[in-house]
Amino acid sequence: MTDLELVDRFRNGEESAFNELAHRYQEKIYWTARRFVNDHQDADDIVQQVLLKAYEGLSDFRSDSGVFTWLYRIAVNTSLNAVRKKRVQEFLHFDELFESENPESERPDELLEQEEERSLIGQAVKQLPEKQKSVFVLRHYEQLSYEDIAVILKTSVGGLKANYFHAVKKIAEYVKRAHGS
Amino acid sequence: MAHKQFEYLLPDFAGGTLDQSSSELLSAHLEHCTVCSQRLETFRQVMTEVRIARDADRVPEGYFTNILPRFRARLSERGSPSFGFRWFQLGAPFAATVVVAGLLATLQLPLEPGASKGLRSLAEELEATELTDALFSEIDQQSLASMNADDALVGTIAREAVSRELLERITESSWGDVVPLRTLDDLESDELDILLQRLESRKYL
Repeated sequence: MTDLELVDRFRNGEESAFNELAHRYQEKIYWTARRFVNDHQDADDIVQQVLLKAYEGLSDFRSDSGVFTWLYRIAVNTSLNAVRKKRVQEFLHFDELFESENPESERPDELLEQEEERSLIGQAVKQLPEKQKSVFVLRHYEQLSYEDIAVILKTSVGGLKANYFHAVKKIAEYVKRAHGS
Repeated sequence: MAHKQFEYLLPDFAGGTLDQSSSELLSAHLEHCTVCSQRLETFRQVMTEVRIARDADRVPEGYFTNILPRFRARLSERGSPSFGFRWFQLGAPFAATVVVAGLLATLQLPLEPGASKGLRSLAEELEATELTDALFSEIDQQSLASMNADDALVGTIAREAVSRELLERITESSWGDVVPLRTLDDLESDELDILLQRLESRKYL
């Protein structure tokens, strides 16, 4: 069954059609989000948000854009928003407050997250401007075509190639600096 | 093709995703362009590091099979009356508002002569981004002679504001109309951009 057939079924009240759509794309949504936030818990929050937005927006979904690009667009926008919010929160020192008040609430995957924080590549990707980061994630990790990325980010293919080049160049420079060479 | 156009092909070539005709064009260019050849080598190395890092990423066991059940549970929960009372559990996003409100409430900054509104009355009327802007405007007006930098002042005040006492005061609704502020989660993308721009323009980030 195609994505659009599932959308039609969902619009006709078949809840299980949404489950099937979510099942098809949940891993892609998760990994896209994770490349942006570099953290499992944050990526998981984004996945839940994306599913909710998709669930609520599917009745208004226009079939002139594919379900796949539509979901990616929601995932990218939600991830970018999460990154922005985190920057504000970090500025306002929330981490100190909640860590000190809830020491017992450490997540079971704490070690995994600490490992991620140390990830040089994760930090290198994190410092990219939003547009370059989006293109890098979708092109390099998700292996999407420039045509699909252009639809998702609502931009031109020509500009995307330049963004991808500058993203890789900046990551290379970051890694080089970190290695001290 | 201009040199820059060849450069833009390098990432895909290094990643093995460039189409054949473009690959042939680039290969011919690489034979006489040392700049692009060196850059290609750098890109290949970094792509390898990116792949290694990607392959090392893990998710907790059974995570993907639990996404949908958790989503369905949340969806059911959303419809229940108790959902509205869970805002206190939202944690950090909610705290964003708490801090902004707290900053506004605890700051006893003297207003300029003739200023018609105090910070508390501002807090009753403005949205989160506007609150932040109002706060910084007030701080900008103060004499910072005793401070090395105004970001130090903001940091100090922020830490004081985010005390348990203040949090409890706010959540007990002792502020009346001041409480129903928007959280960071409520902000639209454009509003977040504006907030970040305002913060960045003051070099706080």
